[in-house]
Amino acid sequence: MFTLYVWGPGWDLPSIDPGCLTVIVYFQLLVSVEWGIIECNNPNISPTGELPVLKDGVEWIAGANNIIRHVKRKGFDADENLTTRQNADSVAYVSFVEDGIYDSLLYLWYADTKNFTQAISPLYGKLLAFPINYYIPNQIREIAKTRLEKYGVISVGDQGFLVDKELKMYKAIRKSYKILLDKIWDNEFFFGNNLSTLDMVVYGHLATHLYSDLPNPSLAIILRTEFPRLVMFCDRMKGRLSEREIVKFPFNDLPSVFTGILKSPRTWFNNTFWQIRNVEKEAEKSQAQKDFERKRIISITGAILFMVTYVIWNKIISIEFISEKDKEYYDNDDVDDDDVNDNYDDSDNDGDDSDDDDGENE
Amino acid sequence: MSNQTWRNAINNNPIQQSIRQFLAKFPLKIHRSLYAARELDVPRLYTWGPGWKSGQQTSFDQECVKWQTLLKFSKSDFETKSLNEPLMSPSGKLPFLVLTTGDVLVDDAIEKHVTDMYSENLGSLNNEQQEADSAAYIASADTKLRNALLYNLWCEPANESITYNKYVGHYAKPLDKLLFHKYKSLAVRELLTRKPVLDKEEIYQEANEALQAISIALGDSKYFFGSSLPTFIDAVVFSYIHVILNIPLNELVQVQSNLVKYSERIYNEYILSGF
Repeated sequence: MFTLYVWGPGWDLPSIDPGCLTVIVYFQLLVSVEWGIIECNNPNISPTGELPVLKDGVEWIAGANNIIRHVKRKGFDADENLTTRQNADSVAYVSFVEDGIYDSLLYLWYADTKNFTQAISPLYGKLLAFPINYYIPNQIREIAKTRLEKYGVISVGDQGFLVDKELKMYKAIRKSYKILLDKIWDNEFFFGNNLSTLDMVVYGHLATHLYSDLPNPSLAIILRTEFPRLVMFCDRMKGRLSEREIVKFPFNDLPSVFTGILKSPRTWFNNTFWQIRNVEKEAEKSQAQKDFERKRIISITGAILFMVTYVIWNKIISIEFISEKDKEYYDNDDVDDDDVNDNYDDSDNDGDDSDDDDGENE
Repeated sequence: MSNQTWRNAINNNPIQQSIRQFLAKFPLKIHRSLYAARELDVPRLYTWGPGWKSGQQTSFDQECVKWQTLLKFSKSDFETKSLNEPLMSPSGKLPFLVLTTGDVLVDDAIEKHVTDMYSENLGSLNNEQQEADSAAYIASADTKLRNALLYNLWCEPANESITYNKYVGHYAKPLDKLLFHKYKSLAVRELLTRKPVLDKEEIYQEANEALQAISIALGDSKYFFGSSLPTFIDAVVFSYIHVILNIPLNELVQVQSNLVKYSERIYNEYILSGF
């Protein structure tokens, strides 16, 4: 049984994340054994901090490409009928979609201030749990910022508004759509009449461009007006997918830090601290190591002894033993000294408190 | 008082006039500028250099090799100068091309310059499908191969010394360490925009996949997509293969034999022999 942990739904799509959507579509169309999704919305459960994550028995696989690679090995291969050259093309186009097409999405979702503040940030706010809903959207926005630098999109002002200064972004977006259009031409799928992984990857990304409902829907408008053939492809895929149900598992067994500590504090503490201690347990020391440590202790002790002896020998610090009677004499002497000091201080208008304190203490 | 008469009043003011006469004397003398930019005879490409192996005419940096190769493909007259100071470039990174007119070009502008001026020496792709394929393979090289390259150079502790020697070795003592750290964090930052965690095995595995795909796409033909003359994708793929073959990364990823031959042929034909 396969369990997919994914970002939650939005705008009639089973997931708002292109990677998760790709994997869900792949499972919907190809995987015939029992599978289901858990809308966990918490990237922290993933070993790499990214969703989707697939749980297959005891194995955890993170990342859309790794998951697809894994289920291909399990016998659910969408690319069986492709030629060698088509397989190579598939690898190239998948990297292209994840690069250029995803950048378009990042631009519209995170660089467009209106979309980010009115749609994307509230959307994540609704999906995510309390503490992380504040920083995850901004975290993704930071990544978007870095990725968009190469298109000349730079942040301006203290608020970090992202501005497409050289107006290159929409040119780049149209260029990437054009590449997909040239590839699909007038075929039903990207590689002729055979459904392949590339179709699902393209659908996973374009669906978020096309079916999302944003204040500034430029990507959907560009697609609908200038690239109707890509829209037709997405509609065909959507129609095909609507026949297939998605099983949703309840998310009660989330391996989260918080649920863990609530359910069973003892195991949580054991897992968290005990394991760390186990890992850090050192290997058996070799003879050389033992020798080295013994010498280190001897030399440190020697150095300290030498230092103390030196200090005492040269009377930098002297210890004197005095009788009770002598002590009284000294004390009186001290008081007298302080009085003199006080007078001196007063005359100087300094009022040094520390001298007074010393006198009182003694 | 109307605007015109008010201005006349100011202009005719004797004090104003004398001040103006006095100021007109400045500057008293104009010296010849000491460090004027010298006129270039041919366009000059400023790069990281020299190459990984002694006597190599290519730069050690993939981006530089890419533009250098494209210029060589175009058979335009230009010279390469090893500069090793990215801050001199208007984009903050090398390479940049200075034309005889004094124009400074970076990145896409170089490509535009080459395709505008010397298109007859570059091959052209037959149809839009091939152009789409070319863009896809370039994207695959620029993400998967670049990930492996950056990771291998900046994140592998064993390679730190060779990267250090090439990129920052020529700086003075405390500066070299600081710049090394800066370049390294830039590389890591770029990697993290494409990968959530830097898993060594996964990065090299994906690079292998990309190399295999590129090798299949090239096949036995001379240049990509059966073109009789090299195109932009040839410059991109050559730059990656050439750099990978010269650094320890070549032991970690498998470069197919047709790609090795392809890279040697382009090196001998275009880089070594000039034209």
